[in-house]
Amino acid sequence: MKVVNLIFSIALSSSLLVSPIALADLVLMDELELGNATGEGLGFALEDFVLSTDGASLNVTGIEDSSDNEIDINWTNLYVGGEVTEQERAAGVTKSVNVGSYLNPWVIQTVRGSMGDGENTPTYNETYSRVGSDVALLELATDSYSSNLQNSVTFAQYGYYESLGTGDASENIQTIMNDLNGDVADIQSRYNGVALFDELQDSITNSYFAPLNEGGIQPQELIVEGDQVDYDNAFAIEQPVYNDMAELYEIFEDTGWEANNNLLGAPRCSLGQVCNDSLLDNDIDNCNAACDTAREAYNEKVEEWEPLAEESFQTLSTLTASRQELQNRLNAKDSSGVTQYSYLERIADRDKFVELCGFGRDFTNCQSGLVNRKAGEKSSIDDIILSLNNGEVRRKGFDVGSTFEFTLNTTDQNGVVTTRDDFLDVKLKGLFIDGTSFRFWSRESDDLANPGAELNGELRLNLFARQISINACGDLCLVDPNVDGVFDPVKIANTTLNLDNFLISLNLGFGEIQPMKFSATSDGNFVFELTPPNPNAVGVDVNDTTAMQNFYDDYYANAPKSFVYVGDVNIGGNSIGSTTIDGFRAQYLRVQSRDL
Amino acid sequence: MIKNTLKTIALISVAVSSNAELVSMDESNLANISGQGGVYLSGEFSINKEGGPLWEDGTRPYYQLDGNGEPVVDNSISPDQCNNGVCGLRLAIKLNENSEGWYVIDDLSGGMSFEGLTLRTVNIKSAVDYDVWDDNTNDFQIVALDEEVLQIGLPGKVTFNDFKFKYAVANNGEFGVPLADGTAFKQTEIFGVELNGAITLQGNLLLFPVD
Repeated sequence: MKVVNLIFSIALSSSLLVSPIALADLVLMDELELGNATGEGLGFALEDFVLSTDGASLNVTGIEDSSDNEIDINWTNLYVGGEVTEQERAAGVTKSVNVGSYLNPWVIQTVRGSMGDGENTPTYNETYSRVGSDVALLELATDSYSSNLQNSVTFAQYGYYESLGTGDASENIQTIMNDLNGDVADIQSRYNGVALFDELQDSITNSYFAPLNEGGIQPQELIVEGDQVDYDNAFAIEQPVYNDMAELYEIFEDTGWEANNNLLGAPRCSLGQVCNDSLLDNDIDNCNAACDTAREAYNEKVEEWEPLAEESFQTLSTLTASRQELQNRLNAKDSSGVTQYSYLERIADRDKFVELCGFGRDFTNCQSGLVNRKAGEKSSIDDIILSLNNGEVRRKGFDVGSTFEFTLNTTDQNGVVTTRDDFLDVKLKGLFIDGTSFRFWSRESDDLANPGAELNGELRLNLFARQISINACGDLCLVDPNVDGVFDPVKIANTTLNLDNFLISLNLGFGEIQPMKFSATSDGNFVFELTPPNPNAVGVDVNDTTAMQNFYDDYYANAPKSFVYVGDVNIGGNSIGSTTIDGFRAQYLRVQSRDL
Repeated sequence: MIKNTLKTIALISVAVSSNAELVSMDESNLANISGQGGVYLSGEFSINKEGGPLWEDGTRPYYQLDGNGEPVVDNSISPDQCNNGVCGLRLAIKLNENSEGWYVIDDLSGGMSFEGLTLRTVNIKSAVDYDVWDDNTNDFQIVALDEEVLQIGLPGKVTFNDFKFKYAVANNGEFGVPLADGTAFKQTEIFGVELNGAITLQGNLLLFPVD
């Protein structure tokens, strides 16, 4: 790290009163107390916290418009405080907020990775079990809760399922689980007698690689590929000749021929002129020269084209036939056994089973996958319902508000430049960010062209807000345009975008296998990259098929997914409905800034 | 030169006798006083309010590499003019050993003052456990403790005086110096922030070790 041009100093002086009844003095800790403080990390909590920039002027600089003029951005207010109800907000009540607490603090700590440690060793910690035990991670984490009611992610899922159907959250998720279990039972009943997943997978592989004369799919695919190449080649030769022929026909047409009923099919060459059949053999003997030349050129080209078209047609027929044969094989069924279902049906069933039940080898039990994930969610939801029925409440969250004022240049159709004031007001009400953590560690780059240590990271971001309100109305919503600061609440309400029960649970990075990497390019732009899952990072031999299969099975089963739920999107009181993006995962992501 | 001004205020609590004069206390009276132990701080500090030692004249030159690969001032490029002739602090961080890019906090300057930052240890006798509900009290369970924590009382108001900085990305740690392979220096400013006036910052920050 290079620090230049810094000179500042602070001198402190303090006075301490020491009295024999030193209830709150800074005192020396004795050995016993020191022994209990292992000091691996620092916990912190904020009590009665309020941040407000209302009394200050805060500007954002450096943002330019398309004419390279700087846009005036005035950050008129940033407010962080305690959650208030809508009635309190209308009455102007503000509260302070507690950020973390002694027993649930925000934490900055260094921890050792646990990958490779046995699960029973004292140093094993599942949270860090995807990072090597030879490095230390730096972790910044917000408060985390074991109670499902206080954990904002499980609480937000409860809210989501509450809104989803006609029953309560538990009943609604049970309906979904019943459907999923029904789908699993359907698949299992089709393959009655199959005990292991591998039996289904093997039958698919066997069908695919069977020899050509035994209905094999892959040999037929190769034939189709070959026929496709043949047709493409024939067409590539035919097409330019066809185009030339069409052009010559147009030239011929332009010379003015028309069908002549006196000579069978013989054309007139130009207006008023007749093509002569002096030999009376139904063929043109005599015509004006341009028409004749054009006609001959056209006819020659037709003769050149006809065999090429025939070749194209033949190769297309062969291709069509081989494609049809491939379709037949893909849909072929035997009378009994696993192969009574066609290749395509077995693939669909296999993929559905993996989605529902995960990669477990037991076909008769659904061990992981979507069914298992929903069961876990249901158990949290049941726990929450129990807590709520017991009279428990959630702790209070944050209220965050941020308003911006932009002064932009606008050019009207006459080229006159005036300024315009735009506004943006974002409020997050009842905001919780518990369960968020950033973890960083260092590894040598595996790019041989660019050796050196790199910063790797993992992000777990959980953000739940009871409501996010976005309004861009500004001066247009003033009660009196000449009087600043007094807004019409009805106009504001009608022009506000509200996102109710908003949850984003973003999980990027999966230990050594798929770390996040941060860097900057040499032309001054920042890069954020999530690499594809890397077997070399955990010592898997890329040539060993079984090990690679296990590597990917583990990744797909365990790498965390991300979610976005919005319970209700409404504009000015008109509800658009809910939005869900459930269970997505980035296998590769690269974000790079660019200088416009 | 940087001018520093310091203000310190010491809090003294005095046992007041009935006639309210300042009198000297005897031992037995002193022993009865449980004073406000701790520290009460007020301070003002400024960074580069009148420029720093490196770019004293308010300009930042660009360099070129000579025959030995050493940087020398390149007079063909006009130097970068700092805002108002005052160059702020530049802090550059490279996150990867092998990358060319640096994250930069540039032109950091301005003053900040606060009054009433307190620093003391507090013995926590109890804390709320949000994970456990107490059916008897119908509230979160209170856990009895006997722990010392460091309590920092936030000052309430923090005043900024022309405090500004820019966030940028550059391809070299030193301003204006090209890379070893001759690539010209480039810094791309992403955004900047300017803060003037008093912000409200209330509350208590507790610091304590965790396992």
